[in-house]
Amino acid sequence: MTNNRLTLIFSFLSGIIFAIGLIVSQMVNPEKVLGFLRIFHNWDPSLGLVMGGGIALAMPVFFYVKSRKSEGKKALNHEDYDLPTATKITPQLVIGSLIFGVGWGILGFCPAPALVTALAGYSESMLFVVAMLAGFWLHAKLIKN
Amino acid sequence: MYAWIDVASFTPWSALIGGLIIGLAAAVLIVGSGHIMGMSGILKSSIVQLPKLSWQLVFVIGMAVATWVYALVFGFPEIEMGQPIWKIIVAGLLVGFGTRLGSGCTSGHGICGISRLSSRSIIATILFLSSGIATATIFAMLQS
Repeated sequence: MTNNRLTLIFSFLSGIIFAIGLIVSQMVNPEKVLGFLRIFHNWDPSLGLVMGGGIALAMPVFFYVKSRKSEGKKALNHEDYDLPTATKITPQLVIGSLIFGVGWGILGFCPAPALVTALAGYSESMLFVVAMLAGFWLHAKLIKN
Repeated sequence: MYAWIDVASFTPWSALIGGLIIGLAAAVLIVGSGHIMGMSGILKSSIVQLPKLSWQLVFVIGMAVATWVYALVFGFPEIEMGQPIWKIIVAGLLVGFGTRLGSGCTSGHGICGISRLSSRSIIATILFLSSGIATATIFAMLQS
């Protein structure tokens, strides 16, 4: 099987699992997310446990991947592990993260749950996704200048 | 502590199991293809590379297939929406712009970045959690 075909298979599989995880965890419900972010008003710790669960499983896997990479080994698709190399805390990282957080705190939507609910037919989510794409575009225009 | 937590809405088991499944998705992608599961980057790349059948597009298609099959078999859970249009647009713009400027979102920085102990991702996550909490809290106060 070609590298590319393997890549697509793993990507497809991962996308499926990701969507299932988002639905099962109820992170597709913005009220659950807002319930976590509104720490002083009827706090719902669920999102914390979602992230905790995700990191608990992913962390040992990433450590394994990092050690494999340092030994020159490759992913199952025979390609190099594409681990980000940037280390500096840049103004873009700081400001971008703060801005993202504000947008997230308004509705309780981040990219993936918005996409899943848009796919499920919620028109509000579809509008959110369109606005999000516009945000992507605005950023691309900004860095071009 | 108990008085503070909304016991009625806290759903520990679905949260934990769902979180593990999300972690599994990230694991499959990094082990299988060497890619980071960062939704904002994946979504943007899938569109920018159209009409190419990029791995990012295939990832998004996987999400779509799973969503539709889940909806067919179990019914998609009822979700409370009904937010004003201006709010949706502003939130979407900020999320879109912010995730690209900050190079990631809750899956990319929050799950994958923290799992690799990336200081950039740890900081990014602390920051977007902080501004997210502040924003949600302010809106909650304004509403009451």
